Amino acid sequence: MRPATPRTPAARISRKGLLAVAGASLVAACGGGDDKERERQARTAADLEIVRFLLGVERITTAFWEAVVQRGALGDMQVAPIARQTARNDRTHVETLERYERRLGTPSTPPETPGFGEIFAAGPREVLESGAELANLAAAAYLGQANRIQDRNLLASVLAIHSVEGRQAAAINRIGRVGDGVLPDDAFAQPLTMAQVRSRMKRFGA
Amino acid sequence: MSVLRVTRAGFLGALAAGLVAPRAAFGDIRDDLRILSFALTLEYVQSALYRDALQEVPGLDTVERRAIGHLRDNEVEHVDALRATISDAGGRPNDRPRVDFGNALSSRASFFKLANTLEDTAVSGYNGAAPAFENEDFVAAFASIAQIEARHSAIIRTIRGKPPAPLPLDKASNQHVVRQAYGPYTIE
Repeated sequence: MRPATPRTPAARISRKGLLAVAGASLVAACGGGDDKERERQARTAADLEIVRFLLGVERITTAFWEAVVQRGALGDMQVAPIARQTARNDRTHVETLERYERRLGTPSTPPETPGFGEIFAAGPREVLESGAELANLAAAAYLGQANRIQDRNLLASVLAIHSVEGRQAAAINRIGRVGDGVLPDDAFAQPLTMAQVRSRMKRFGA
Repeated sequence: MSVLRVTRAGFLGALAAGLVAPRAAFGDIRDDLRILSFALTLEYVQSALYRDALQEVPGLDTVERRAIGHLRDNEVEHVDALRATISDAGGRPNDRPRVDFGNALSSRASFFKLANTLEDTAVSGYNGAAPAFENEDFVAAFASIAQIEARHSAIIRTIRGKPPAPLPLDKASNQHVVRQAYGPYTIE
């Protein structure tokens, strides 16, 4: 089984690591203020990178589910009400992350909304399976960042969104009979790194 | 091998580093152990609920029994992983509490209602506790379990005809609130 903690040593700034830097800065009396400022900037930059990454994921999932609802792309399938709820929830997730982005740095310009043309053209079953893939990807994306977040308030918000993504994925999996059974999920959710998520989201126009 | 056990390898690496670092640097492990023990209690109760439900709840159909069996197996894995993690971190896993679900197992509807409540409460408990961890490997492992509890809740909610994700952001609860929800079903 893959570890819950994706190891990306080059990019990873752990909370402990930053605390160690902070401790060192206390010992070094000269220039301590500069060290503290550098540490604060490093924390902010690390969190901003995560927020922008998750915002990118949410913007795509939101665009997808809003398009599903607007086009009635799932017809009268049982999962249609869940699609509406997912679109509403994901829109709130975007707004929440945008607030954090403004707090941490300069707001980014949202990319052009993808059209998902090939997916919708292939019919409701393809829409459902693609939606399930997106929902599970989003849950794995959040999980992959959980232990990298520096600010505890941001971590609390990310965890609160992360479990909702898990709920949405499970419901779509089950009602859509995506996967191979009544409960297609294992006992431990699996994380994905930023690179893994970006690679898998390319087909959605990311 | 469970996720927590794999993550534990990272933790043991940190402990090994601690052999040459000041001991005080790892003093906060006691708080982390308290959080892990809290979660273990929730998992004990949940695993017992699904175990007993399969024996006692009348009127469950084949699909529901299969789903409950999966849920029970997941919770047993969570128990095993948390016990191993607590032991490996130098703690002593708390004992399995005696449970009594009263009349909740006397009907299909009351069982699923209780399961829904306990799963939702567990999600809020995990989300409330995880930010307090000092060891970030525990954060990831806890979140991994929390997502599965959320998935359990969603499945039970769909069985009950309820929205699987009624709020855009799940609640976070402190340990006191969670213990109040689980307390009536454990016998001291």
